[in-house]
Amino acid sequence: MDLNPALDPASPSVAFDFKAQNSLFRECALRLVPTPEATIHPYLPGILNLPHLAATLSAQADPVSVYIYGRLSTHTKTLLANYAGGYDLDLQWELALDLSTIIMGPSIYDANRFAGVTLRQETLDLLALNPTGLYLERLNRMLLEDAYSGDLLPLSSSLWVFKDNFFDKVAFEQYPGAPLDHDYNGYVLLDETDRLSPAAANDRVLTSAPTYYICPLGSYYRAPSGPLFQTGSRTAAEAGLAQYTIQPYQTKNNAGSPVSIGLHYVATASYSSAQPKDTDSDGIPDYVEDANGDGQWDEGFETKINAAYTTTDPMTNDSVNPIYDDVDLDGDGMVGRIEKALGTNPLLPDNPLVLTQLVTSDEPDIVRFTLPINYTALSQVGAISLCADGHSVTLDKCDAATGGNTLLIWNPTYEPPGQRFLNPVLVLHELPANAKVISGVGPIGAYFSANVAQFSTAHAQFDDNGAFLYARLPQLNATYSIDIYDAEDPERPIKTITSGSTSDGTIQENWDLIEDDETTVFSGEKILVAFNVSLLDKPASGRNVQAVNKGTVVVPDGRFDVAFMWHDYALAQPHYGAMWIHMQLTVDTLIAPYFGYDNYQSYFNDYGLTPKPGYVQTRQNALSLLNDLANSAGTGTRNFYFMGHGSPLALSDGLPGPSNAYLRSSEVAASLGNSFDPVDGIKTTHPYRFVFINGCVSALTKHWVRAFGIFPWDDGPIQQLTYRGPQAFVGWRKPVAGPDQASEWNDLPFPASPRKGYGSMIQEFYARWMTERPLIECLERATDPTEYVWPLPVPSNKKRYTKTGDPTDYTGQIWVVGNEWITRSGVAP
Amino acid sequence: MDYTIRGRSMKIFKMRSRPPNRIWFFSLAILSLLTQFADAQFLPDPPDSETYRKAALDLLLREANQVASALQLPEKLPITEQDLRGKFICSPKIACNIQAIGTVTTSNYVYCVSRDNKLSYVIDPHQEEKLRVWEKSYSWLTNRQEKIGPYLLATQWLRQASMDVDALNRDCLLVIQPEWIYGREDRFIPAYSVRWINGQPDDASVASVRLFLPTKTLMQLRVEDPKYILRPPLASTNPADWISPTNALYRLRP
Repeated sequence: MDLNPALDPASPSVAFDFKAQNSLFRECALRLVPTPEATIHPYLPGILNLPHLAATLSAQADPVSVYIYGRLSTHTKTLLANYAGGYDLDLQWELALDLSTIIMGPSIYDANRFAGVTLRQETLDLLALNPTGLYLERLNRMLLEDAYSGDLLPLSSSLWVFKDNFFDKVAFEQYPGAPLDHDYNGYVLLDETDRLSPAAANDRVLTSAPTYYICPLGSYYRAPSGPLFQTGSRTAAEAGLAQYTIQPYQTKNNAGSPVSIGLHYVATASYSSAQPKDTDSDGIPDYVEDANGDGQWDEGFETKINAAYTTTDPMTNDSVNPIYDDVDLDGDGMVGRIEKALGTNPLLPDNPLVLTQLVTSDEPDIVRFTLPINYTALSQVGAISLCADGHSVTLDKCDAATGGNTLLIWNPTYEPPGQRFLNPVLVLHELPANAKVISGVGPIGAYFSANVAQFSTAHAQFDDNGAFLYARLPQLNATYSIDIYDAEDPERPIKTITSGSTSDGTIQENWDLIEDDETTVFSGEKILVAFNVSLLDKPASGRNVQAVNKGTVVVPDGRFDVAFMWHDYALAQPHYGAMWIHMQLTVDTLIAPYFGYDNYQSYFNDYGLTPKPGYVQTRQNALSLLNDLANSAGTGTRNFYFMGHGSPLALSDGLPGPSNAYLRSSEVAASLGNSFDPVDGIKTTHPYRFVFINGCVSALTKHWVRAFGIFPWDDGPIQQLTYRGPQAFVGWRKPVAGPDQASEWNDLPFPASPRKGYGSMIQEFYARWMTERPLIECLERATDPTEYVWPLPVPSNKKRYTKTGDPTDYTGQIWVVGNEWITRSGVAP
Repeated sequence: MDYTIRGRSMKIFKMRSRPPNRIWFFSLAILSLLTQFADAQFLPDPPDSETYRKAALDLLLREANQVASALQLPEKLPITEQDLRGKFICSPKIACNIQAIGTVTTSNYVYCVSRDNKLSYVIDPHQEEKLRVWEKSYSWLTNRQEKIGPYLLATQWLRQASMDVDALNRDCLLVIQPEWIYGREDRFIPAYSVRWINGQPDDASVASVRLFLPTKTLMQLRVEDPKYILRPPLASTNPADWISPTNALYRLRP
C-alpha cells in the first residue's frame, strides 16, 4: 500500500485537537476551560527544525540546553553525536520521546535556567498559576517551545481552533493558560466581553442576528448577502463545502470563493425538498460523489457529479463503481461490495439480512432463524453468522432452509440467559487487497433467552478419564439434577445425578463414566447432558441439554506449517522477492529444514529439490497445504503460521476478482474434523496448539478459531492446563496493513536504528517462540517500534502505518484466543 | 544495497538445498558475503554456518549437561547430540538481536539459553500429560496443601542451577500455588507453582519453578529476568561484537 515510513515532521502529533469550523453556536454558553486531557497530549511534540534543535542541544551553550541534554537518554545522545544533519527519523523519534518524558516530569522551570529565554505571555500566565498535574505538563511544554522557538511545533497552533463560526449571543468563559487559534468568526454580542479573546483581526461583529429561514434540512438558512457571506478564512473548496449551501434556494457555494461564515447544509434538489442534489440523476448525491467537497472530480477517488457513468464502461453505472465498494450508499448496512455479492440495489435500502424466527420443538436449547437469501447463492459468496449483543455467538451454523432460503441455527445455551440483541453478519469468502469494509450487517432484533443454564466451551470436558459437567446459572442459589444420555440412544438415561444444590451460581459435577447400574463403564463417544434446574432466588425452573463429544485430553505439540499467499508476484514469487526471501528465513528459523529439521518438522515446507518457504500460488498449492495441515501422522501438524490476505472465511492471494490461490476455513475445519455445531456440540478431532493467521480480519469471527479446534480461555489458566493443555490463536480484528514493498520487508542499512524490517520482525517473533518465550512477550516485542522499523500494525503504531494523504487507519487490534502465556513447550506461569 | 546482499545470499542459499558438500557451499556463501564487506557502506548480518551451529550446539550441550547434573535430573549423562530429540540454534544475527543462543531437547527436558545468552529455562515438554496421569492417583484434599516443601525444593533447584535466590527473595513477592483439580474446589494435585513476582499475583513471574512434590519431579524452571541468573553468558551480549565483519564464532565463548 505504499506506506510512508516517515513521520511527518510537521505533524502536530496531538491526540486531542479540537476544531470548530463553519459551525453555528446560538444563545448558549461556551466554557473553554480545557480539561487537562484536552490540552496535554500524551504523545510526542512535533519537531519542526531537527538540525537546529540537534545543534542547539549538542552545543549546550545555554542553561536550558545543558539541563535538557542532561536528561536525554544515552541512546539519544549517541544519535545526536552521530547526527550528520538532514532528515533522521530515528533521532527525531528518540528526541521526541525524551522531550515527552521531560514534559511529563516535574517542573523544568527555574528562574536562572530560563533567565535568557523570552517567555510568551501565555506561558507567564500559566506559570503564575503555579499549575500542577497535567497543567504542569502543559507549562513544561510551553517552556520548551519558548526556549526552542521555531524548533518545536507550538501547542497553540494545533489545539482548539475556532474559525469561520457564527456565535449568536454566546457567553464565553476562557482559561488564560489555554491559547486559542481563532479568527474569521462572526458574533452577535451579548455584551462587549462575549467574544473570544483577544479580538481577532478578521472577526465580524453584528449588531443583530441575520434572518434565519427554515428549509427541509434545518432552521438556519440565510440570505446570500451580509457581513458573513463569503468572508471566511478559506475557500469553499478548501473547506470541503463546495456541495453545500447556506441559501434557502439551494445554490451551492462557489468553490473558489471564500466560504461563508457559519453553518452550511447539503444542497438539496429545491428549497422544499429534503433530497440531496443529484445533478446527473445517477442516484448518488453530489456531496457523496464529490467526497472531499472541493468541487473537482478527483479521478480514482470520486465519481463525476455531472455524469452517471464516470467510467467509459457503459455497464458501470456510478452506483456500482468500485469506488463505492467500501461505501454504504443507501444506508442499509451493506457496502457496495456486499450489495454486489448479494445482487441487491446499492441505492435502495433492501437489506435481506433479516432474521425471522422459525419456531420448532427444539427451543430453548436450539433456536432457528430464516433469512430471505437463497442459500446456494449465498454459499458461493460467503457465509452468515449470528451476533448477540455485538459479539459472535459461540455456537451457530449457516445452512439451507426448506425452500432454498438460508437457515441460521443458534445454540443460545452458550450465551447468558435473558434479553439478547441479535443481528446477522455476512462476511465474504475472499477479500481483495486493500478492502476496508468486509462485512454486511442486518438490523438488530430482540430475543429473550429463557434458559436456566449457560454452558461453556472451555468447561465441556469428556474423555476416557471421565466427564466434568459444568453450567453457570443466572442466580446464585439453585437445586438441580442431571440426566446423562448416550447420544446413540437418547431415550435411555445412563446416569442420573440427583439432589444437587449450589449457592455460588455454578453447577460442577464430575462423572467417572460408571453408569447407574454401577458396573458398566460408558465407552461411547458422545453424551447428552440434561440439566434440570430450579432457581431459588427468583423462583423459576427449566431444563437445558448440552451435547458433549469426547475430546483430546492434552493437545500435543507436533509439526509446523508455514504458508503465504500474496497479490504482488514481484514480492512473492521465487526466488528473489523480498517476501519470498523473508518467509524462507522464517521457515529456516522455525523448521530449519536445511539443518535436518532440528526441531519442528513440516512436510509442506520440506525442501525437496528446492527451498519451500510456503508460497501458495495456486489452488493446487492450497490443497497441498490443506493436506499437510490435516496430516495426523505421528503427533500430527499442530502449528501454523500464515502470512497474506485473510478474511474470516478464507486465506487468499488477494487478487482482484477470483483468487488464484485460496483456502477456506470450512475446508480446514472439515479436513481436521473440528466442528462447532449448535446441535451436535463441539468435536475437535485434530485440535491445533498454536496458530497465527497474519491476515486481515482473521479473528473477526470465530471461524478460524473453530476450524483449528482452539478453545477460548475464559476462566484462567488452571482449567485450561488441566484439560486440553495450552492452545492459542492469534489473528486480526480488522483490515490491517501488510508490507507490500521490498523495503518494508528488508532491514534498513546499518547503522540505522531500529534497522529491522517486517521480515526480521517475523523471524525474531518465531526465534523468541522457539527459545520458549511466552507468546505475549513475542507479540509485545513484535509490536515495539523502537525495535523494528516495521512492527506489527497495532494501533500504537498508527503513525508508522500512515499513508500520505490517506486518513485510513491501517492498524488494528491483534487478537489472542486461548492462552497468551503459552510457550513452545509449556506455559509461563 | 541491503536487499542486493540478501538477494545474493539467498541465491546461494537456494543452491545449497541438500548439496553433496554443505561446507563447500557455506564457504562460498561466507566468501561471497565477505567480498561484499570490503566496500560495503554498512555492516551486514553475521553469516550463519554449520561451523557456527556446531560451536553453538557444543555450548548448549555443555550447559544442558551441567544443569542436568546439578539438578540431578533423570537424564542419561552425558547428553550427546545423539540423545537429542530436537535442537534450535539461533542464527548469529538473531542471537545477537534477541540475546538467545537456542535450545536442546532430550526426551525429558528442554534446556534453553534464552535470556542474555544465559541458560534460563529447563522445561519438561510432557508436563501437561503427566499432570493428567498424576491427577488419577494424587487427588488430595485441600487440607494437605503445604508451602514449605515446594519452596525448599524450588529454591534448592534454583540455587543448584546458579540462580540468585537471595536476590529473588529480596526483590520479589513469593507466591506458591498448587494445581487445582478441574471442577473440584476441595481437591488439588500436589503439583506446585513457586513463583517470584514483582506486582500482583496475576502478573508475569520474574522466576518460577513448577514441580510435582511427591516424586520431587521438576516440571519447569524459568527465570525471566537475567539479572537473577548467575550463570555466565555463553556469548557476547554486546551487539557490536556480533555485527562485525568477522566470524560470528568468535562471539561465542566456549
